[in-house]
Parts: sequence; structure tokens; C-alpha cells
Amino acid sequence: MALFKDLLSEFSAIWAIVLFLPFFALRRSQRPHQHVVGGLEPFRSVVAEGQAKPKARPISFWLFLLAYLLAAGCLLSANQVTAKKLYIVDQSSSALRAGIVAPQNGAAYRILGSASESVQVSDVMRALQNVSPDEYLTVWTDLPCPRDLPAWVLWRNPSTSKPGELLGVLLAAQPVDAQYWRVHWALQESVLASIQSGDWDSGPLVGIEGSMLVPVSNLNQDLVLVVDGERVSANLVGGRLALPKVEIQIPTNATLAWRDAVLAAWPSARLSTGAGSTLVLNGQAADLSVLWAQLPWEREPLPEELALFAKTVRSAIRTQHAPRDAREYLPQPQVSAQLYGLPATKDLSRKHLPAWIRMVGWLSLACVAFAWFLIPREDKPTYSEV
Amino acid sequence: MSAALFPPEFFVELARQGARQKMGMMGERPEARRGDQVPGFERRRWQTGDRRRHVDWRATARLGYPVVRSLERERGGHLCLVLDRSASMAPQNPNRDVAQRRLGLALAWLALEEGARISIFAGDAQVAQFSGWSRRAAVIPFLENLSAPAGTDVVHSLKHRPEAGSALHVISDPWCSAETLQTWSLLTPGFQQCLWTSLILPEENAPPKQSLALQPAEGGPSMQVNLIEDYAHFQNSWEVFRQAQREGLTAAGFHPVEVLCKKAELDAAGILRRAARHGAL
Repeated sequence: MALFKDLLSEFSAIWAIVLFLPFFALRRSQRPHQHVVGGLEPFRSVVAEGQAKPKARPISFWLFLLAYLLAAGCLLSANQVTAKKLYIVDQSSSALRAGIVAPQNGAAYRILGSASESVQVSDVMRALQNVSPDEYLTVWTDLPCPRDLPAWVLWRNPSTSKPGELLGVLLAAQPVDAQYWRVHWALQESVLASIQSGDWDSGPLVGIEGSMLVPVSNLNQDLVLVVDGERVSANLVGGRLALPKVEIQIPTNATLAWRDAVLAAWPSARLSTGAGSTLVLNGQAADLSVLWAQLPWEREPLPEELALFAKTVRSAIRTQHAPRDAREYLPQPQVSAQLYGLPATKDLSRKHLPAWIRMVGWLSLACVAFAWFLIPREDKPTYSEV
Repeated sequence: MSAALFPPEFFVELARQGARQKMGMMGERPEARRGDQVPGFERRRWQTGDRRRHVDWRATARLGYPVVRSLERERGGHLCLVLDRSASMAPQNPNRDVAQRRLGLALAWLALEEGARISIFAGDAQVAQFSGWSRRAAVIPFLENLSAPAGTDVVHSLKHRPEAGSALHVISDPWCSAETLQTWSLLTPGFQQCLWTSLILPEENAPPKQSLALQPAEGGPSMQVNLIEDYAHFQNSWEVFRQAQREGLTAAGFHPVEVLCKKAELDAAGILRRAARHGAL
């Protein structure tokens, strides 16, 4: 049923094929019927005369063909006019990770979320409340379909990952100093989990969300969430976490205090000196030249200048390497669509049809009716008195 | 089978037709029809040469001298009833086959009531002879057990040559070929009366008004015909064909009669009424 519904949505012109049914009925009625007879004598002269006449299709055939073309054109035009497709596409980090891409077929798009912005069912439902009434809606997301969703909304979730597969997630890590990171974590309920950093094990985590200091042996240390005694699979990215590779270059003439400021702002950053000041995050340069050009690299920094420097470094890192949103990884309770007051049905009626389309439709119907009456009928047997 | 083939309304109509025929004899005085065919009602003294089985022993005992029943002419004569059992009798449905059996029973029944002897020729090996008023019911199982129509229009009854001087009644379809009629024309001079009843199906009289793939019931190449546009031409051709058949039958010595046979389930009495109206009964 769902497949049929999708077909109707994606290929509305399939209804044009249905119009072939009158053709089939006509051809079926005109095909030779098997008729056993006692003799062929009375028919021979009919056949002899019929062969002499040129074969021509009856006018009902041409009327049916005209009606079909008109009706097909009418339907296709009506489909183009009325059925404006709108795709609401979830592009949150989990949807991107699941490879969810809406097809490119001329539909309008409305993007929800981004790599750093979480999308929940409630966000989608609020977007559905604001669509115009003449649009066919399809939601492309990895979120579970809410209960009691109206039939005029197609909820497409092509994600192959199972909901609830990830039992816990490491949300973010921020280096405190060269030996400790502050790690944020979240778990599903009733899960026994711990964090491992090399040989160090945190022991059972208490609660469903929190943060803790984790000792690290080097800057490239991998943190692993261990759930129910097993290390999280490598393809479930929520259970593994590594710090971004941060490279900060300060001017050559910068004082030593600025070097300390760099390590204080992000202890795992690799510091270098050069002609200017740049920040490279995972190989991509962040544009901080305007802000950092104002800093007095040649003298000792004031406390507010140190604070501005640390703030710009951390905000740049958080922008490109945002902390994870637990809702993107852990299953959320299923909501009911009725809470958002969506109408159960949607009126995509002919009031939106232009007059010429309606006229063509009526003309098609008239052709069908006229052709139907022109089909020769079998008369009632009139027995000659024998 | 009996109830379906010969339902009660058939016998009601048969009795009505029998009474209608007897109405013509009302007021006639029964008299001996002298002849040499069957023992009659009157008696005479035994003479030399009379066969011993013709002696009326009860009358002899009562009168005291040997008497025999004098011979009379058989009242109903002899009826040869020929049933065409070729495949064309039932091309699409058994309506004509059923009508033929019903009409055959009616003819045999009424003839036996009149005291005639009848010989029924039905196909190759199915020949039966009946005589006597009380033997009417014996015709029913014979007609019920006839094999289904099959084969071609060959005159199988020639192998059992009917008696001369009797009446001949052929119940057939309108598809008798000229060769068959030519064969019949050699036989008909020997009969006092020859009647040919052609049973015509409604679909033969008015075939479907559409494109048809015609398949002859007795075999042969098929043919396609489009009656949607040429129906009037077919009707004309059909009338010409029937007229030619009637002329062929007349030339062969038959009196042609055409009877329409309708749907078998609804036509048990109607076939007798139409046959009587057209003089076939």
C-alpha cells in the first residue's frame, strides 16, 4: 500500500494509463469472436463483398483516440499546475551521516537543520504547519514517522540504521590542560557504560548525561565509550571521539605571553610562528585575520585581550567542530501528529484548476460519450417467421 | 434427463396437439378397413389356408366352430422418421438437438396413437421400430439415449432403406448439402409423403452483430467475417440461402418446413406449437 501511495505521489501521470481501459474495452469488443456455425454459405458473399471494400477504422476509434489525448493532456497539465511538490529535507548531522538525499526532480526544497543544528520531529511538524494548501509534501529524514500522520504527508525515511542501535554517545571533549580533557557524554536509560582512554577506564557512568575529566596520554588520543562491556563498533561514530586537529600560527614577533595564551585557550593546539596569525582546524583555515590583526602581539597582553583571543579560538573550533546533540544519536519518544493540529485531509481540488484545463476535460468526456454511442450495438434478434 | 428433455409441460402440449388432430375425426362411424396388414375387429369362418395363429380361440369356443379375425389395413400406416445426427445439429449449444428429440417424440407418439408403425433412423447404427398404442412410452428412452450429434451430413439411413409406400419425415438443420439432397432425391419417389423439417437456431437467423471467426461444426477451414457493417447484406444472403434450400428440398421431393427452435429450457411446449403451426406435426 505504501509503495502504491509512493507511486501515486511520484508518478501522478500514471493515471493517464488508466485511460487506456476504454481502448482495451473497445478493442476487446471489436475482436473476432469464436462462433461455431453449421455452414458457411450465407457468409461467403459477405466476405467476398467486404474484401473489395478498403479497410477503415470506425469513427468511434478516432473519437476514443482524441478523447484519450485530450484527457491525458488535461491530466498532465492539471498535475503540473496543481501538484506543486515540496520536499522538506532533514540535513542534520545524523541525516547526512545516513546519506539521506532528496531526489532532484524540480520540486521545491525546504531545508531543516545542518551539521551543527539538530532536527527533531517537532521541528518537522512545525514546518508542516506552514506549508501552502496546494503542495504535495514529502519529508526526507532519518527520524521515525510520528503517530497519526495525515495521509497527505509522505514520510520518507530511507535510512538503514536501526533506531536505538546506539546506546550511548560521547558528545564533546575540550582539553583542560595537556593531560586532561573534559568529556561530555549521554546514555540511554538502564545502560552500563564507561569511558576508556588508552588503558584508563572511568568505571560505570552514573546517570543519563554528564561530564567528567579524562586523562589523555597524547593529543591524538581516541576516547571510546564502552557499553555493556563491549567497545562501541567503529561504524557507530557516536561512541568514539577525537579532538580536532588545531594548528595556530602567531606572528614571529609575538611575546611569550601570547604563546602561553594559545596553550591556555586550547591546550592541544599545535603552535607555530610565522608571518601572520592563522588558525587551521582539521586542515581548513578559519578566517580570524580581522580580529587577530587588532591584537598587540608585540607587547604583553592585557587580561581582556587574552579573554578575547581565547573566546575567538574556542568559538571558531565550536563552529566547525560543534558538540554533538544527544537527540541526534539517541532514540527519542515517538510523538503524535495530532498534537500539531494538522488537517486530516487536504483539498487539492479543481478550484485551483485553470478554466482551459476544465474545458479540455469536459471535451474529452464528451468525445468518450459520443464515441460510446457510435459503437455498433448488437440488435435484438428479430426472427423472421420461418 | 427425462424430466429435462421431456418435462410435464411437453406432454401437456402433446396431449393438446393429439386432441386437436382427433377433432377432425369427430362424427365418423368406425368401420372395418379391409386389408391384409393386421388382425382386425371382425371375424369370419376359418378357411383352408388361414394360419393357425389367426384363430380367435375364445370366439371359437363360444360359437362352436373355428373363426379367425379378418385382416384389416393398418390405420396409421408406416412412418419413417429420420433424425439428422450430424455435428451441425448442435454447433454451439444443444438447443437444436433437444428440439429434434422433442419433435421426434411428438411425431412418433401421435403416429403410434393413430395405430401406425414407425421406424426411427438416427445416425449410423441407431435404428428402432415401434408399433402399437401401448408402445408409445418406449420411444422416450430411445430418444434419450441417442448419442450426441457428431460427424458429417452423410445419409446414414441409406444403409437401412425405409419401406416404400410409407411416409417419410426428416428432422434436420438448414445446412444440408446439395450432394445429400441429390441422394435423398433417389429415395423420395418410394414414399407417399415426404416432409423435411429444418430446425433453425436463433443465432443462425440473427447472428451476433460483430466481427466473427466462423468455425464450421462439421470441420473445414474457418473464416472471418465482420457483421458490424455488413449485417444487412448478411440478412439478405441468409434469406437467399434459405430460399435456395427450400427449392432444393422441393426438387428432391420433400415438402420443406422451417421451425425455429429457441432455448431448450423454455421451449418444451413452444416447439410443438410452432411445428403444428407450420404443418410439421
